[in-house]
Amino acid sequence: MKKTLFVVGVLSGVVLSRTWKVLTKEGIKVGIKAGRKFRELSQQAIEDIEDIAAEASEEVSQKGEGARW
Amino acid sequence: MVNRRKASSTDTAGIRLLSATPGRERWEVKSLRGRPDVAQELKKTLLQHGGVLHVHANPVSSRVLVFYIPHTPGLNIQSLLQDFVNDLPLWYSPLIPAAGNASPLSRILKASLPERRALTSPTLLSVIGNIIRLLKGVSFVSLVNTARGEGPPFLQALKIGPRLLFLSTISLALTAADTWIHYLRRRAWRRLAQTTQHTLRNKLIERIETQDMAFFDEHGTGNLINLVTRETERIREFVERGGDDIIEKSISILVSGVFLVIAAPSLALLACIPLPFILLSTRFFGPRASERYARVSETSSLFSQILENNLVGIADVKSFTAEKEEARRLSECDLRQSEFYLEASGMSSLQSQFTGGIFSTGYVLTAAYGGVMVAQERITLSEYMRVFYWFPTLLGALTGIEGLTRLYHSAAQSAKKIVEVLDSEPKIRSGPVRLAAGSARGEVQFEDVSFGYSPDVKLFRNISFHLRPGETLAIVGPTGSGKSTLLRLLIRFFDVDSGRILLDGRDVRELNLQSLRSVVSLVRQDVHLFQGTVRENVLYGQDNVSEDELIRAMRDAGASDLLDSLPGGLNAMVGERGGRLSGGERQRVAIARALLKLLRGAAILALDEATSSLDNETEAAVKRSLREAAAGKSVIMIAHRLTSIRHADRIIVLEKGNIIEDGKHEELLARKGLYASLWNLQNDDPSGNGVEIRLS
Repeated sequence: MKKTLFVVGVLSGVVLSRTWKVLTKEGIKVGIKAGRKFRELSQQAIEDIEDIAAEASEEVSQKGEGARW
Repeated sequence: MVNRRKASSTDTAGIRLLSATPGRERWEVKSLRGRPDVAQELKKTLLQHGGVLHVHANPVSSRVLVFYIPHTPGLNIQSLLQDFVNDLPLWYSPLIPAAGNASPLSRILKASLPERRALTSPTLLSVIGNIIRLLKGVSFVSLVNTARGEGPPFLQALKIGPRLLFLSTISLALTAADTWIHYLRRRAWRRLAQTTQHTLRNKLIERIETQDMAFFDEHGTGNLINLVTRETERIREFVERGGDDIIEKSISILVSGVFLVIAAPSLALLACIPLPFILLSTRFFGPRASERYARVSETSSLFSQILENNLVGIADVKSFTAEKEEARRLSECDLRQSEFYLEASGMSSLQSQFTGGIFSTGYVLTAAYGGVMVAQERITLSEYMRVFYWFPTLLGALTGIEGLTRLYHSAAQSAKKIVEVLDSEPKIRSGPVRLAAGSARGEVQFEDVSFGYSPDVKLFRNISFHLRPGETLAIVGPTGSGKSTLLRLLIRFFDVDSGRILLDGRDVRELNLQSLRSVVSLVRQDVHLFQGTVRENVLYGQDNVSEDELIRAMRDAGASDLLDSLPGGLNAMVGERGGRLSGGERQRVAIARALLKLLRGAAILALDEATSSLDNETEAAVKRSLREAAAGKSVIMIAHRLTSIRHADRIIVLEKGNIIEDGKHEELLARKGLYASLWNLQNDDPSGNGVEIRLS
């Protein structure tokens, strides 16, 4: 059993030593993608608020004109 | 009026209105996503239109905000965006993910494989199929051990007969399931591969069709045909067999490895000894095989190119009795390709044999050591048997990697060539300004134009001339003086090196390519007819043409008699490249096609030696019809027969890249320069009053 664990341990070490770079790169990629998505969503949210503000302002000015009439 | 909710329901070709108030609209344009260059171009395009005050195009949110003067006549933001999106393929957009660190093959697969959902079914079938296959192995080993009186402990309660019957039934059921799943998974992978190849071919064709003329000169037709057919075929093969193989080998290696370790760890360790040698052999043989497959790919393209040239010019091959020479060239190229293929597959076989040899050695060592262990009673005979079942499975999977790498190298080489084309950006890009249909006046101005097909050799230096709307301009000059090139520059088959060409006062580079080319109706000297009927060829590129318009165009082109003389009239097949028609008939069909375009609103008729294949009588008749049909349109004529252009409003004479004479026929004759001598030469009359063909 101890021998088996030793073999498994050594093999895991070999596998990890060969794949740590790939794993780290994949992790960074996920981070970059998440950052981009966040940036996209936040810009969309800002633009949505700008649109709502522009529409509200337009509605207020329309009502204002109506009242003057 | 605020129109948010109603507007957001509009979604055509990736554009959607998000918010609208008078003078302000926000649109979602999906093509903008992650493309600052497209955003910049969109901004420029929209600002070209009167009434648009400010544009903010955001490639991060893929939205565009437009401020404009409300109620501006003719201003429709939606149609402007729609046109822009429709024109995107004309001025380049990447069809595959950016290079980064990814290999060409992985970029192609990312762009061409269907969405992940489509991958699930073949992957799942492969996994299930391989698990069933391995279970079949387990049941087989158990059956043999049971026959020897051992076997699985949970069956120990049963007698030997029922035990064997039970295990045989399980084995048979697993075999049936394996066969069925194998069929299903092959079908699923094949379907996936076909879809991938179809997508890839579409992308390639889209990219090739939008390239400029220089691209075709550089790549060659045969090479491009080879790329679309054979190279994509290799990618298909890789997806079809590679995907399934990767899963099969991975599962086999993993499961047989685990079973080996469980059965006898020390034997498993011994079985691992060949692994480093395998890795080393892959490193050694891999690049060498790859290099040889690259050569196979290159010669394959060359073969297609030679074959294509040969078949296109078959008439010349025959007239020069060069059939044997051509057959020899093709045979040599094919032989070279076969040799390279043999070298490449030889390298792969060598790797395969080397790997097999190493494993056989490992197998013998394991068998011998296993025998010693059984003799010393360190493992049982059952464990020894299990090792001997699983070890060849592992061996088979590992040696099978060689076939996989061969597929990979072959596909990687094809991918490299495909990516080269997919990444190539056309130098001629469509401009942002679209001309309203029928609005062009046909005024052309060349201003200090310099151009050369190669940077070192200039064909033109600072050429300038002006064609007013409705005028006829003739261009004459010796062969190779660049007459046809002037027309190619006008319709932007090539761009000028310096100076500019104006159409109705606007630089042609600012114009949308489709708009520009729809203004010019061109008949080239080397007429190309497409495989199909006369009708299809005359209607080429035109929609909704009435029968009357079609007949009129045929009549004006002097092609009415074709309707009677050809069996089937308008529906007669013209053959490949119009091979069933005579040179004159082909030219008249091409003139009819151009006249139809003129009738449909083109402002300029460009005739590049358009009547050179017609006899004098027919030419005169066609010229007369052309004059009537082109009344009010600008005409540019290139002709060697000077009698056919003497009535032009203006004639320019080209020589060695310069305009050396310019004026009307009579003025040029009086000048006694090149034009006059050409005229005298053609009319065999030094006085300049030679025989002429009267057009009217």
